[in-house]
Amino acid sequence: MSLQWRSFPGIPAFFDEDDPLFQQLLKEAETRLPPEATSEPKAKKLKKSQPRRKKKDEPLFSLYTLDELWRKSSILLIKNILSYLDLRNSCKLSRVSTSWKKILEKTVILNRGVVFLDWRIPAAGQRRMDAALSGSSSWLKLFKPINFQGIKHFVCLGPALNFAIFEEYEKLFGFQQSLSKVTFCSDTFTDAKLLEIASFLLTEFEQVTFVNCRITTNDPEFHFDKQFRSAVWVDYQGNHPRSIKWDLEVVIPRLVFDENFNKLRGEEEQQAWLYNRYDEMDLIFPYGKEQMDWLDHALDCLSGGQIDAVKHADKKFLEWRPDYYKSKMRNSGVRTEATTAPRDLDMLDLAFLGRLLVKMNKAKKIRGLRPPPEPFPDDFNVRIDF
Amino acid sequence: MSTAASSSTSETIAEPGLKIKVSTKEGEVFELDEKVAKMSQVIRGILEDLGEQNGGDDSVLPLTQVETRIFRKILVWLKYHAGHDKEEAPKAEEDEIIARFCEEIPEWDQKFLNVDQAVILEIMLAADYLDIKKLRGLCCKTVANILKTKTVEQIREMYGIENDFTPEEEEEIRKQTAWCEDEPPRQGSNH
Repeated sequence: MSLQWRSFPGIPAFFDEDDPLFQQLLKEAETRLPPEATSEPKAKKLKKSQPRRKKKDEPLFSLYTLDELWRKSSILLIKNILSYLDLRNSCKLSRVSTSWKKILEKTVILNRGVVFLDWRIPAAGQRRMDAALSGSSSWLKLFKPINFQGIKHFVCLGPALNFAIFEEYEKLFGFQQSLSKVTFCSDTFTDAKLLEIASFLLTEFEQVTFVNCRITTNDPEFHFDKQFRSAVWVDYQGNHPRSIKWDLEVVIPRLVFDENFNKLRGEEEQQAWLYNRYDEMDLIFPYGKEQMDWLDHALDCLSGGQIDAVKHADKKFLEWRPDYYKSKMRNSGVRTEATTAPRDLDMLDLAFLGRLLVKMNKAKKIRGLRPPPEPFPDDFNVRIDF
Repeated sequence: MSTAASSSTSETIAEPGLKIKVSTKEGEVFELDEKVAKMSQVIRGILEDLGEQNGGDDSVLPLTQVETRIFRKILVWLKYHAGHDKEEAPKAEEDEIIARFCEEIPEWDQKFLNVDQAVILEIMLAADYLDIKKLRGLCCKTVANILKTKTVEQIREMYGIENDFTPEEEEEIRKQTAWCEDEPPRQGSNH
């Protein structure tokens, strides 16, 4: 018997060469390798199997220099490029040359009366900007190279405009009579703040629009605090008191506040209006029929204490939702008896109950409950307070 | 309509339908699907002027300002967008301005334009010549995004722009805009 050392993928390094199994494996391995394969067959094989690079995949290089190409660019093209700059960058680059300054001074005209302020800048730049804007400095002075004649629409991008005090908004927007519209883009708000800003700005302007903004709704704030010890929930969730809170989060593609919003009376009406808009945009329950069917089935899976727990949560949820909220929501066509009173569920009910059941299932398995076709956002929080 | 140069290479698109032949500056001939070709407003205009009688014969539309290597690149963009873009309802001018500023450049286009800045400028010039509004806009926005990362001095050097301010003028404007200067960009930037 002799031991041989051969290196083949899938075969132990040492083997009895008279062993029939070894002979078989060796034969198979040799047929897998090219004839010239030696101790490093993998690398060689990989190298051989590399596809030849096609001509069109090769990186494309210019035959011209940047300044040659820039000289070739028409004034219209250069204006087009510079029209993509926001106020801060327009101010900064107006120092390049007198011709750039002349173009950039007319940023407002270039963009048909729309000006942009991009707050998505590095932290150091943000600090300088904040410092420059603090105190009594007027915004108009900051953007001095820009001619604001004819400004109609101010667009703010990014997350830095959640001013705590409205004085800052006055500084920013209060400099031109012609300004009639303000838009916030890619910002993050609570819905209370959203309504507050819209209400405030609509006293001066015709329209306030929010585009691609993330809104967290503190109402519907469904909240068992730790003093609230329902026997049902303590039994269902264990012996620890918990707080349960739901903050619905939506991303609005575009939401316009105009004079019609100003006709609404009081915060509750405004809040209901907001929910109605979310519902119209399919943001509250943005799923198809499969998800509704899942919820219908999930409610049928409940038994005993689980039904009690859902009824109890639903009761609390309804206590928070006055009738006008309910009347603003679309009906989903799903009917269940696993709630406080048998009823047709509206879209907000679906969003709430769907998340509740997923959370309950995590705490204690609901028999027969499958995961929903589409996962719900994780905005339903259960906190354990020891 | 002029005739194609004798040395020609055809790039045929698989879809059936009317084919449009165009030739580049070097005389290379490309055969495009009608839908792809008409994304260029210049080609669309010529075809409309000619009453769209060009499909069945050997006539070729000359694109004398577009070099073959850039046209090949643009063709990739045209084919992709002809197949993927949905019909969009026309927007009001103001909404269009806001959308082009606020919307991020889609991932595919970002990858497409992840090339040397000079190539972006060449594509932009060609898109301008061919009047492909969307591609021109993407290039302009990409160049603007590059400008945002540069200092004034770097921009002057990059494009060979002369500083024609008097020292007094420059000092004044520097004071006005000092607050919006960025940190110097990191070395080794691709653009």
